[in-house]
Amino acid sequence: MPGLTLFIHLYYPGSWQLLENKCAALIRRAGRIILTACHDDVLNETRRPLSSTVGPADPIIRLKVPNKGKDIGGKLAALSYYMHLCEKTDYIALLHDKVSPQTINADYWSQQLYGPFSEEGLDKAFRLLEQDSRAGIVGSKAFLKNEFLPMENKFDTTNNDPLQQLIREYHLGGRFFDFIAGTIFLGRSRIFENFFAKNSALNGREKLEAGNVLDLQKGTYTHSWERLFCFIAEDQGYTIKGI
Amino acid sequence: MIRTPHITHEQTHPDVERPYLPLLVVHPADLHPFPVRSYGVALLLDTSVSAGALPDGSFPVKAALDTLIRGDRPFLILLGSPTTEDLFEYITLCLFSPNYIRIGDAPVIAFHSSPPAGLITRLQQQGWPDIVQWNVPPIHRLTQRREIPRITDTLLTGASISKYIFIHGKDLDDTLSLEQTLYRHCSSLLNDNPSLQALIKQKRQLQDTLDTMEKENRTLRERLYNAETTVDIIRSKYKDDYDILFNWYRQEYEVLPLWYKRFGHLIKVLTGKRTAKSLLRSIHRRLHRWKAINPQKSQT
Repeated sequence: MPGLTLFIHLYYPGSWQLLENKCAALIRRAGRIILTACHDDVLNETRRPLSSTVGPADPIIRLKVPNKGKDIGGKLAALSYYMHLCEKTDYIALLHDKVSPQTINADYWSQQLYGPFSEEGLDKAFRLLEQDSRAGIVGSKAFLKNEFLPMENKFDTTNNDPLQQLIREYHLGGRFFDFIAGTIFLGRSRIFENFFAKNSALNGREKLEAGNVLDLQKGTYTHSWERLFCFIAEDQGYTIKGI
Repeated sequence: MIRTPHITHEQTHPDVERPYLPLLVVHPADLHPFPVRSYGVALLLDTSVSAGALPDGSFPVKAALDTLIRGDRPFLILLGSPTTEDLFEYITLCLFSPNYIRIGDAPVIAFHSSPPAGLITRLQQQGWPDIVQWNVPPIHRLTQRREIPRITDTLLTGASISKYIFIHGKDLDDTLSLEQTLYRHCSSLLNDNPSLQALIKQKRQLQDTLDTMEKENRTLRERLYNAETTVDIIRSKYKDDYDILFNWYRQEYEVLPLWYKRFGHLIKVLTGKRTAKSLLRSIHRRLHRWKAINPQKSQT
C-alpha cells in the first residue's frame, strides 16, 4: 500500500470521536497522522488508543498551534513539520472538523466532504490516482468548485484580491482554477513537497488572520489559501477530481 | 512537585519531591538517545547547530527534534550566543509541541544573550501574542557544585522567581550528576524540616491549580467569543439563506403548471423516489377532501 500521511486540524471538543467514526478507513490506512489543535482538551481527546488503527500504537504527532488561519493555519504548520522532520510518503490527505456552526445545514456539507474518506470512497480515490497520472487531488464532487471568470480575469468571490495577490506572489499559472472547497482531500505528496521546498509553509502562515475568521463580507488570506492548495496542483500540470 | 522515578532508592530519598523542575541543558546531539526520561530539557541552540547543517549533519539532529516534539517531557529552547536566524523554522516547530514550556499561552524562550533581531517578531506572526523571553538569572542556573547551597537557599526560602532550574555541567554526565547532588542537598534539608516541605508542596499545588484554572478561563473566553460571533452571524445569515432558498423554490418549482407537478409524482414512483402506496394515499386523501367539499357532485 502506498504511504499516506494524514493531516488533521481539530478545533471543537468532541470532533475527534466524530472523525474517528466518519473517516475510520482513512485513519486506519494512514501510516502517520500529524494532528494540530489549539487547545489541550481537544488534544487530550486524541490520546486514547485509536479504535481503528492497526499497527503502531500511536501514529499521531500532536502539535498545539495558535488559532491563526483556522484549519489552514493548522495544516500549514503540519506541512512544515512534514517537510522538515518526516520521511516522505506518496500521498497526503487533509482533513479537519467541518463544523461550521454559522451554516444552516453544516451536517449535510460535512457528510459530503467526508464522503471520499469512507472505505468505498477511499478505494475509488486511490484507484483514480493510480490510473490517472495527471490527477493530482481528489475530493468530494459536491465541493469541486470553480469561481474563475475568464472574461474579467477575476474570481467570483470576496477573496478575489488576496487570492490574486497570492497567485502573483507564488507565480502560479493555474489552468482552470478548479478547487475542492473545504480543503478536505487526498492528493499526491510530491505536489506539495515541490511547492513547500521552495516556499516556506510557515511564511505562508504568517499572513493568515487570527481567530475564527469568516469571508462573508470581506476576503481573507485564510480562505484564499483554501483555494490555493488546488491551484498549486494545477500549476504543476495536475487536475483536480471530484468523486 | 516533580517525581523522577528513574532515580533509584539507593541514590535518593524516595519520599521527597523536588522543590524545583530541573531543566537539563543539552545539545541536540545529547538527545539521541537521551539516557533518562523524566527530566525537563533546555535545548541549547547555538552556532554549533545551524539549519544548513541539519539535513546532512554528523549527528541526527532532526531525529532528536522529532523525538523531543513528539515526546512527553517538558522542554524549551535555550538560545546560545550567537544564534543564526535560519533556525527559525525549527524553533517554531519546537514551540508547536504540546510539551513546550509556556507561561499561560506564551511560549518561553531562554537565552544567554539577546535573541537574534526579528526572531521574536516572526514568532509572534505565527499567532502567539506574547513570547516570554528569559535571560536566565544566576539563581536559576547551576553549573558547578559550589553553587548548590546558594540555589537551594533561594528555592527553599521562596526567593526563586520560577520553578525551573537550568542545570548545565561540562557534559551530559556532569549535568546529571549536578542535578542529583542538588536533589540530595534539597532532600536532606527538607527531611530535617517537614513543615517547610509541606508548605512548599502546598504552594506548588496551589500554583498548579491556579495555572489550570487560568488556562480553562482563557479557553472558555475564546469559545464564548466564538459562540457570540456565530450567533450574530446566524441572526442575519440564516434569514438570508432562507430567503435565497425560498426564492429559488418559487422560481424553480412553484411556477410550474399543476399537471406538470402531478406528472412529476408519477415519475418519482417509477424511479423509486416515492412509494406507490404513498401516492395512492395522497390521491385518496385529495379525493376524500374533494367529496367533502362537493357532496352533490360526488353523488352524481
